[in-house]
Amino acid sequence: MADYDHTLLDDVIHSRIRLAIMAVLIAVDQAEFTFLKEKVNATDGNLSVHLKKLDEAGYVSVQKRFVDRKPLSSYRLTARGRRAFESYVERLESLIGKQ
Amino acid sequence: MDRIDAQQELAFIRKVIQDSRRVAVDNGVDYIVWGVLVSLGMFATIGLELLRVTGAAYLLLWIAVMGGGWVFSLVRHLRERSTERVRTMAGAILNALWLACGIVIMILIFIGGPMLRQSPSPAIAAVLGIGFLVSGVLLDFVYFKVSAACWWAGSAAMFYLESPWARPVHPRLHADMLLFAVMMILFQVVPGIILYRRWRNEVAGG
Repeated sequence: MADYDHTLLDDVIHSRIRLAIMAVLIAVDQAEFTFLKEKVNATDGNLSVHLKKLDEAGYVSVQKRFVDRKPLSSYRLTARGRRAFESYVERLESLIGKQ
Repeated sequence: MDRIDAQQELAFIRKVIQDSRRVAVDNGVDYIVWGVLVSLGMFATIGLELLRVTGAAYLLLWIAVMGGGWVFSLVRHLRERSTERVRTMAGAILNALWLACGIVIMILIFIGGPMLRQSPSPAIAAVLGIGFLVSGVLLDFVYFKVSAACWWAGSAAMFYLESPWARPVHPRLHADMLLFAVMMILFQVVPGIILYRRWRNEVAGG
């Protein structure tokens, strides 16, 4: 069985946690940090690192606000992130279809 | 990465998306509160008519009923918006849908009904059918889809009851209003309670 050319896969998305974050944000319009943490099953620090990487790539945008003096961060996919995710899934599907 | 890895990756993506989509976008409270308020308003209107009350009492009653409902929904919406953990497109569409239905219903109650000197119940029932069908599809909630069909059938029945061909049960009783009040309980309050219980189970189950 021939291996797939891994350079065609988006490195930013090709990580279990970042892929899960993207999948959650595809499913819902906007999600708060604690919701993502529950769904992705990651620690605060780990999730922050991965969200920062997605933010730097322009795949997610963050909105910060205060509720009862507590900071809340909400994340949503950008148009670029949505395209990148769709392209990533298409590449996976083409891999399954080709072989 | 080989084919099996790709299949596992796609299966993982599907699972995460399905799991996240199971977030309840509606807890049914608005349906219950509005349903109880409007059915009480309807029964009160029927009572006033049977007691031969005339004048501004009807207008004041419905300003209180509709005003109370709008204030409740607005406060609840603002409170939930500040604390909500997740926002979905389905939730945004539901809010817009019921706001639109609410505005049409207000026009029918306070403008269309008095101007045409007819009961607005049949037209309101038809509007509710639209709201319940779209909500049922968005929430994947079969009870609302059934409610929609019942509201449309009810609308047709109410038009008949208001027509000259219907035989009045009582000279001062608007049978269409009585039917509307009963339908409000059966096809709004009851499905609202079922939706609330589903939401509570989903929240408890994480």
